[in-house]
Amino acid sequence: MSAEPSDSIDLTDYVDAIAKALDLTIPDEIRPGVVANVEHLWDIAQPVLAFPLPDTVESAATFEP
Amino acid sequence: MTQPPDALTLAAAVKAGKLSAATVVDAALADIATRNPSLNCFTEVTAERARSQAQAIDNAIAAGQDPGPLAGVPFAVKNLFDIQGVTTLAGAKLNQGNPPAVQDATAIARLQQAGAVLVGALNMDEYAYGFVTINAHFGTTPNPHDPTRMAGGSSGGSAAAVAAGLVPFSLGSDTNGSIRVPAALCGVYGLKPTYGRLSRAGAFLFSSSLDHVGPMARSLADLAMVYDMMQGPDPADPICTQRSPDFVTPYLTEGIEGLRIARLGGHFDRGMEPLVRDVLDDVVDALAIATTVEFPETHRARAAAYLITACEGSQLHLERLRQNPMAFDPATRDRFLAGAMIPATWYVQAQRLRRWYRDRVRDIFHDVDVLIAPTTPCVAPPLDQTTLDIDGTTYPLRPHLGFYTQPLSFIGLPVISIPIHRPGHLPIGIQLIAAPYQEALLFRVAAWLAEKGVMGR
Repeated sequence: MSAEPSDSIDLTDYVDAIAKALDLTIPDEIRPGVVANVEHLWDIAQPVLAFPLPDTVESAATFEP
Repeated sequence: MTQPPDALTLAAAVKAGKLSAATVVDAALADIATRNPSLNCFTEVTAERARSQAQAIDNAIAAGQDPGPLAGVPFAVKNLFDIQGVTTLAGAKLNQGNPPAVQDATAIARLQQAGAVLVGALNMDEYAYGFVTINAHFGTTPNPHDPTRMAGGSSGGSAAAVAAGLVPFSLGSDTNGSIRVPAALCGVYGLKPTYGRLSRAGAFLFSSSLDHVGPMARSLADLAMVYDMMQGPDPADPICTQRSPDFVTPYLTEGIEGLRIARLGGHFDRGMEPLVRDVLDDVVDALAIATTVEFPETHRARAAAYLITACEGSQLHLERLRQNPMAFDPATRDRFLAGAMIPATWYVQAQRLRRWYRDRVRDIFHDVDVLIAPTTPCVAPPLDQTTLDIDGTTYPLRPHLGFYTQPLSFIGLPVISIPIHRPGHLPIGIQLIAAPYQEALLFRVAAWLAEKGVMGR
């Protein structure tokens, strides 16, 4: 995903598209709040996404068969 | 506030025949009935079950049997723990229509086996997504030290019930700080053990990668005994360790000789109120700490914990978000809906960063045994406060309450939040942090600090 800050991107279309893909109906009265929270997550994600990790670092999720 | 006897004192009196379990439990139930309307800690009181169990304990004692180390001690649990015959709310109106739990959570069953008596379930933020215990469905749990202020959360009912003396100990859960934050703001001990150390079976999860359960208490010896009684493998929780229990009670008198104790710097040394810094300095001085260590990239670790929590929590509730979004608490609804939209690559990167951060911190623990950091950046804030101004910077209050706790639970380190009481001030929590499975070291340091009077009570 983009490394641009959320204030340079209109995430409303993103929210609408993903809501449709997930079969989520977001009532109009709460849509601005959801968009604001996606923008917030977007900003929080940037330092995580920007950090280069070696290919050898596996996900911390584990599964024991 | 009323400070009734601690758990081990009560249990000793019950076992010695000085008090009956029935008397202890009746007194606790009467106290809850009188004071809970203003304290708003309990969402369910299991009076019938409690009286029946207390009678069974008294019968066992009369028959010469050992009723267990917590004989007759009342306790209560965050309302995300399954209680047989009771619907598990997890702070949500959406759960009220669910069938009652068919059996107790493992944690409750083990404590009952040790003689403790469950008296009810306690308020929390909806689905544990919050640090404040301001719940649109079940009301606010105010801070017992000042009802105009927050108890903290999400295990706010658990911390407040203990601080107010309604029960000597309680259970909570901690994903990003939800045991430690309310323990600090309410002035009680809170233990978030190593990730996987205690079984979570029968607890309504929030974000499985990060969820822990643990106890809160007014007395450190109680905290140790309750933790010891909860330990042990449990096939019902896939995360629960296969390690044998490592009982901490014997370590309470070990002292701190030979321990390498350091202050946690960097991220953990920024953004706190002056009073919190003063108290932290006092603890550092008391322990004669001369070393500061830093965890690298902690701001990224905290952000990754935030993403994993949002993603896993939202996925867990996705069907409820589809069917009935307006039945969620407004404080969690928009956050859950937004979390459902996190791209998979963000989540996996956050989980990879988790392993990277864990490896760096493991290296640091080769040279140090116990680390010290604040639990929260401030004392309990007023209920309507939304921002926190520190050193000229304005922080959004609610997420900032987890500033020092979130990076530690992210990698599953064991932490005790110890309460520091200073005359004329609200309580302050300090975190003692160790390498995985080294809970005993935390209890050694906490016991030494209590012995030296550093806690102030």
